[in-house]
Amino acid sequence: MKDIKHNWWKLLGIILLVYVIIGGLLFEVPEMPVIRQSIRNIYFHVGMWFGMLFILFAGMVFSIRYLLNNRPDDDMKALAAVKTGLFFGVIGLVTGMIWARFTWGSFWVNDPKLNGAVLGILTYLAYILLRASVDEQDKRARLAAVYNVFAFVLYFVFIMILPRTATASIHPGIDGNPALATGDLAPEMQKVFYPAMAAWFIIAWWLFTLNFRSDRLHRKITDYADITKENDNG
Amino acid sequence: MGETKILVVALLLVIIFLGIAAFLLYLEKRISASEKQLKKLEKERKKGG
Repeated sequence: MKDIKHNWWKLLGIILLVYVIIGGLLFEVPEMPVIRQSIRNIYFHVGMWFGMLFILFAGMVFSIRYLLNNRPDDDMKALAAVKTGLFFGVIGLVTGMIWARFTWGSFWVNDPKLNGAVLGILTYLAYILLRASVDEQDKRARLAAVYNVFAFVLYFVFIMILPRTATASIHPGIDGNPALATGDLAPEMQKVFYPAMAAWFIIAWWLFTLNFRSDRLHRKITDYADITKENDNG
Repeated sequence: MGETKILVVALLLVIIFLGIAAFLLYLEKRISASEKQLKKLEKERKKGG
């Protein structure tokens, strides 16, 4: 009972995603040229990207919090958020590539939105590399926090702003926000799309908390082992 | 035939996802247990000076 009280939102995420899988594959969708039945991927591909943006935004907030309060936990939360965001970015990219194969005939096309997405992911991989290249804990945390704030802004520019300045793009979203604007999504798809967004947000947050807690545990165990060793030697 | 195929795919995906979810819940339980154990150890260490 206590477990359910604490974990109700995780169970909600699981139930929602099960509904999304079933509804996403079996419910009616409008028949559209070219895209056809592959439009069902919108519940997965777009959801994963929104989940990624949400968790990367949270990472940026934790980095700002670290810069303000200097609490090591905030730095660890920012790292966990970036790792989770990268995971979602990669699975979002893979689902997008599969979708592209069936609608555009190729896994990858030279498109500003797609190239921007890869550049964004590389920007965050650089965050991980930056952390690995600094030994001093406080210096590493401060550098990483500053970089993380810039990385989010840069990512936003790469996937949201630069593609809109391009003259042509095969990817939807060059003008407006596809699927989010009123009347953009068929009513029968809205029944699955909005729960899908909620489900991916919840799953992203859940993975982030697991990531953070396991990292914190690892750090505490290492610290504890060091102290015990020191006591034994002394 | 096509309907049955998509039903099987949906079922398979649900099973895979439920498997992943069960693994995550198990992981969560393990982490919680380890956190509790560590807290207890820290308390004992503080008591012992």
